[in-house]
Amino acid sequence: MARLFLRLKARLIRNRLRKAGAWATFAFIGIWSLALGVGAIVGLLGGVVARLVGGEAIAALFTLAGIAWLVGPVVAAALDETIEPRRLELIPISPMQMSWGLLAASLLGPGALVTLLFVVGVVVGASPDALTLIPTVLTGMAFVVWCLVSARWVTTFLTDLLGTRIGRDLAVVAAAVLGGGSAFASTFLSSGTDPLPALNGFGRVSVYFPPGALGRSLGLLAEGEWWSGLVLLAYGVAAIGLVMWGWQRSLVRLATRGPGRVSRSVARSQNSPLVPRLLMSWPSAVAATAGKELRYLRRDPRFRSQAIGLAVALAALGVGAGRMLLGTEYSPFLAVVVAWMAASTTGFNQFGFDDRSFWAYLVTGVDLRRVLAGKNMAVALVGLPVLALVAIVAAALVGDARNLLSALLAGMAVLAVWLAVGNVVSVLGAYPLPDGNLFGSRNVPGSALFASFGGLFAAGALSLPVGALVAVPLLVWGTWQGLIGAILAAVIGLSIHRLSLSIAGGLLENRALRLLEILDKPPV
Amino acid sequence: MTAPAVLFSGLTKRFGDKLAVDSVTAEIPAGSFFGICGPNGAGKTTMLRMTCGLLRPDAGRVEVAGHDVWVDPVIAKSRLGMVPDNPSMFTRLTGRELIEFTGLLRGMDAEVVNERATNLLRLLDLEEAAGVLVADYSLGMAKKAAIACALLHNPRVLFLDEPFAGIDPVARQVLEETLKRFTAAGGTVAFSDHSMDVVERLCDRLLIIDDGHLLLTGTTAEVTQGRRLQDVFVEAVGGSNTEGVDIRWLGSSSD
Repeated sequence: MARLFLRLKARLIRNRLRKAGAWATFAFIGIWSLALGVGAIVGLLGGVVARLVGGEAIAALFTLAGIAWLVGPVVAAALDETIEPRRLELIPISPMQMSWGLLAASLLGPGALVTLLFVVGVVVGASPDALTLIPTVLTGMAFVVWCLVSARWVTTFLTDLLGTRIGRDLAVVAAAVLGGGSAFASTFLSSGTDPLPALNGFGRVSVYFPPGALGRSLGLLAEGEWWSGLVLLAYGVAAIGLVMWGWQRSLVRLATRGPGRVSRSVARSQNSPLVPRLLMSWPSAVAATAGKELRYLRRDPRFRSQAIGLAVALAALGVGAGRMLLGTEYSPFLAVVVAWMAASTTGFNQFGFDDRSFWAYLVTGVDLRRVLAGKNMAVALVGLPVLALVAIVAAALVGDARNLLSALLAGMAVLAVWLAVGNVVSVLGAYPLPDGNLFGSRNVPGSALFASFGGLFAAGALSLPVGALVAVPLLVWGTWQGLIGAILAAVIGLSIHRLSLSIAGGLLENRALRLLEILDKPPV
Repeated sequence: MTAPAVLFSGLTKRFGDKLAVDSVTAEIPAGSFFGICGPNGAGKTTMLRMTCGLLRPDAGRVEVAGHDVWVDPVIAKSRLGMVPDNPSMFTRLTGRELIEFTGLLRGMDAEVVNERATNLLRLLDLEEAAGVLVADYSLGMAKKAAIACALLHNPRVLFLDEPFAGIDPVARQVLEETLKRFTAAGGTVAFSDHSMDVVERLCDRLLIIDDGHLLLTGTTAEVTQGRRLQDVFVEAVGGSNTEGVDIRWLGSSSD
C-alpha cells in the first residue's frame, strides 16, 4: 500500500508539472533545491550541536523541529501538497492502510527531505561508533515518523475542526495561546547571555514532549545509557501510536461526516450584522463587494484558517515589537503591526477566496477594479478600528498620547501600501483556495509563488520610505515634525493605493480570463 | 424579419492540438427556446463560454442582441444571463444575499434589486430558503438560485449549460415553467442538454454539434423530420463501437 501511495503522489506531481508548464517546473526545482540546501545546513548544524553539546540540546532541537511540523501545515496551508484523504473515501481500504499509505506519500515532500537531512546530521554527529549507530538511526527514524504523523493528524483534525463554528472559535483562541507561547519561548531563549544553557534548559523541559523525548533518547543511546534511552524511545513510539490512532479516527470522521456539517453550523449565521447589511443596501459594486467580504469574514473557514496562520506567525513579531515599544511614548506605533496583519489577512491572493465563483463577476460585466476596491474596503473596515483601538489602549497604558495621531496615520499608510501591493500581486499571482478543502492540494501556479515573494519584497521596500517619513522627523526633531511626516506618509500611502487600483485594473483587462482559467480548475 | 438574439459567425476555439469548436456559424432567433445538443466533449460548454465572454475565441464573432460580446462586452453582458453547468457561486451568502449581490454588481438600483429578488425567490419556490446559506442548498435549489441571479437584470437571452442535470422532477418542473414564462414574454433561452426527450419537448429550434463541428441546425421539426430526436442524434454523431469487447466477466461472481 505504501508503495502504491508513493507512486500515486509521484504521478500527481509529474502530471501537474506537465500541465502547469515552465513556471511551475522552475518553482518546483527551486523549492526542492532550497529544501536540499536548507536540509544540508540544518543537518550540518544538528551534527555539530550533537557532537559538541549533545544530551539535552538534541532534545531541544528535536522539539523545535517537532513544533515546526505541527505549525507548518497551518501556516502554509495553501502550499500543502498532501493527497486529499476525502478523494479516497470509496476505495475499500482500512483507515490503518490509508494512514500508512498517506504517511508514505508524505515522505515525498521538501519538508520531509529537510527533516531527513537534519536527522542524518544529528545521528552522525551524536554516534561515536558503529554499535551506537543502529539504535540512534532507529530513534531518528521514529522522530521522522512522529513529524509526519503529527503534521498529518493536525491537518486532518483541523479540516474537521474548522468546519464548525465552535471549532473555528477554539482554533482562534488556540492560535493566540500558541502565538503567545512561542513569543514567551523566544523571550525565554533570548533572555540569557549564553544560548547553550538556554538550549539545554529548554531541552530539559521539552523531554516530556514526544519529539523532545526522542531527541533525549538519541542522546542517551549515543552515550551508551541504554536503559534510559530505551525507556524514552518506548515513550516516543507509544506517543506515535497514540497520534496515529487519533489521526485514523479523524480520517474516518472526515470521510463519513459529509459536507452537511460545515454548512449546518454556518447556516445559523444567516442574520448579518448592521455594517454588511448597510453596505449591501448601497447601490454600488464597491460597497456590495465590501459587504459580501465582511459576511465571508464571519462565515468562511478559509478566512479563519488564514487568520490563524498569520496570528501564529506574527504574534511573536508583535510581542517583540511590543517589548521594544511598550513603556515609551512610541507605544501607539504598535498600530503599524496591526495594519500589517490586517493587510496580510487577505494577503496577495484576493481573488483566490472567490475560487470557482470568479466567473460570477465576469458574467455581470462589473469593472473588476471596483471589486478589488470593495475587498480593500472590507479589510480597512475591520483593520482601521482595531488599529485605532490598539493605538489608543497603548497610549492610555503609558499615559502619553503625543504620538497617537502620528501612529494612526502611519498605520493607515502601511495598510494602504500593503493593500496596494496585494492588489497587483492578486492579479499577477492568483491561485485557488477551495472552500471546504482547507488543506487539500491546490493548483498553485509557479508564477503565484514568485509573485508572492516579489510582493513581499515590494511591500517591504515601499513600506520602508513611508515608515522613514514618520520615524526620521519624529526621532530627530520631535512630535510635531513626526506628525507632519505621518500626514505625508498617509497621503503617499493612499496615493500608492490609488495607483495600484489603476495598475491592477489595467492588468485585469488582459488577465481576467487567465485568472478565470486558473481559479476555475477543480482542486486536484 | 427581427434580428437574431444570438449570432455565431465562424466561431473557433482550439486547446493545444484539440480543435474544440471549428468555425461554427449559426443564429438563435429572438424569442426561441433553443437546444444545443452534442455528446460529451463535443464543444457545447466551450461554445457557451465563448458566447458569454468567459472564454476568448481564436477566431469568429458572437453577437448577443446585436452587440459583439468581445467588442462591447459590458453592453453585451447586460443583455445576457448565464447559468453554467454545476454553477459555483458565493456559497457563504444566503440565497437572497446572493441575488442582491449579483444585482448590485450589475449596477442595478438597490430597491429594484430587492423587489425583483423577492419576486424571483417566490417564482422559483425559494422563498422559504431565502435566508439559508447557498452552501446548504441542494443542487436543484442552487441551480434555481443561479437562474434567479441570471434573470434578475431581465436579460434578452438566457444561456444555460445542462440546467436539468442532477435535479429532481419537482425542481425540474419549476425550472421548465420559469423558462417557458421567460420565452413567452419575449426572452430567448439557449441551453445545452444530454436528454434528447427534454430538448425535443421544450425547444422550437436546436443545433447538434460533435467534435467541434456543427452537424445540424434548424427548427426541431426540420431536424427530426418526424423521427425521434434521439435517433436523429445518434445517427448524426455515430453510435459507439463495442464490437469485440469481451465483458462476459461482468456480473459474474467476483468473490
